[in-house]
Amino acid sequence: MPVILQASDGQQFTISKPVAERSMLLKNMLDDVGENEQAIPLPNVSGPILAAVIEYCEHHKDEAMPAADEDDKVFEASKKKPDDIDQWDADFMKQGKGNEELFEIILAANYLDIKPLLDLGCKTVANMIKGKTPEQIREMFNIENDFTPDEEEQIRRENEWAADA
Amino acid sequence: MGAVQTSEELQQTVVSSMAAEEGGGGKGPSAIFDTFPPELLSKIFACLDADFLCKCSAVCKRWNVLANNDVLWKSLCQHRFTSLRHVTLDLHPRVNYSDPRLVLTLSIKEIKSVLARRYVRVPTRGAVEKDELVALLKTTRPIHSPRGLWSGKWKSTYIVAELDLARTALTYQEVSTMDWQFEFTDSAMWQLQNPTALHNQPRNVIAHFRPDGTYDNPVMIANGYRWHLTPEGGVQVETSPPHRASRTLDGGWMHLL
Repeated sequence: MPVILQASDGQQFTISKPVAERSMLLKNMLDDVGENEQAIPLPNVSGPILAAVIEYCEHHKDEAMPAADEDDKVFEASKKKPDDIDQWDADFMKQGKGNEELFEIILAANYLDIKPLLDLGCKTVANMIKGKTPEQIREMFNIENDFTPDEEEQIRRENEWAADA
Repeated sequence: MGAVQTSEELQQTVVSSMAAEEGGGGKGPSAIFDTFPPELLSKIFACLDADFLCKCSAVCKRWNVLANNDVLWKSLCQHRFTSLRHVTLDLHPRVNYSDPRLVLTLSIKEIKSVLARRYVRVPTRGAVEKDELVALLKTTRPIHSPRGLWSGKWKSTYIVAELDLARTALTYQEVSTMDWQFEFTDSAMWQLQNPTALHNQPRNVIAHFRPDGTYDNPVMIANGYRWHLTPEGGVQVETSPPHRASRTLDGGWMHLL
């Protein structure tokens, strides 16, 4: 029985149940309501982002689901293997995706409760941050520097230890 | 300021290049992080090492608060220091806890633990006021501690522990409370000291630099040697040349006498 999803812009996607069940949110919903021909509205996810999320879920549909109790160990897991990103996943995150899209995928993965995609998104952003100066990070993500010169000087001094080490 | 202008220009370049990629549609990227949930930003930060996390703390006020978070830094401490046998996963005794904002985040139990590892005897009579403990915390920081103040008890602990791994100056308490495993690196030396023992050199001789100033080493024939600490944090036995200790890879101490 296929599942129909409706994005915030009204765009509809018909996907198979195993693909939909990569999302814990959808899996729980399907378990609760059973088979239903009505489209499931996803008001927090736009069409293009939902298309990308579905592409990811299609590719990973046959993999074992991560255990639910790993929730609390996410910090640990991501720490141990920060560079351990599967080639397909790395390409998936790169292809035609600007920062805006990347962050929307993270938000969608969080909303739809797709842990591996959420981890992938966070690792991808973390890898973009690595090796950059604070100024370069601000430029990359268009963040305003709201420190006073005094605060900035204090933080610069705090971070000197890393330069010495 | 020149730097600010450059950044604005670059931001504009980023905006226009992204707009081009997305066919002109979509909102500008300026709002990405303004609405990005803090728990997700923390998840991103959790993938970063200490030095990059420090860079993140210098980006803006919001990032600063999240990147100094105790949970992230405690997790970093766990990963950095569990392989180091001699570094415990506790708030570091050599952190400068004089900042009132830092003291506010300490529990009584944590303060007592720090004081215990500074070899400070906490008054046991009745209930001890937190103010008394805090006062002790300010006045008992060991000598040769790293300079500097950091935000957050676990960030401070991480950085101070990291810097302290390079310290080669010992304190009196460290010398007199640690067990020193005694080894001859040269077996000729061993035979000279102990001619009857032939080649079966003992492997685990523990030497003690006692708090009363006596040096106790079962290998030595002569006893009653005295030791003292030099101002530089080296150990001197009698009038033999003082030696500075060096550090082992797991955070321990090695002293060549």
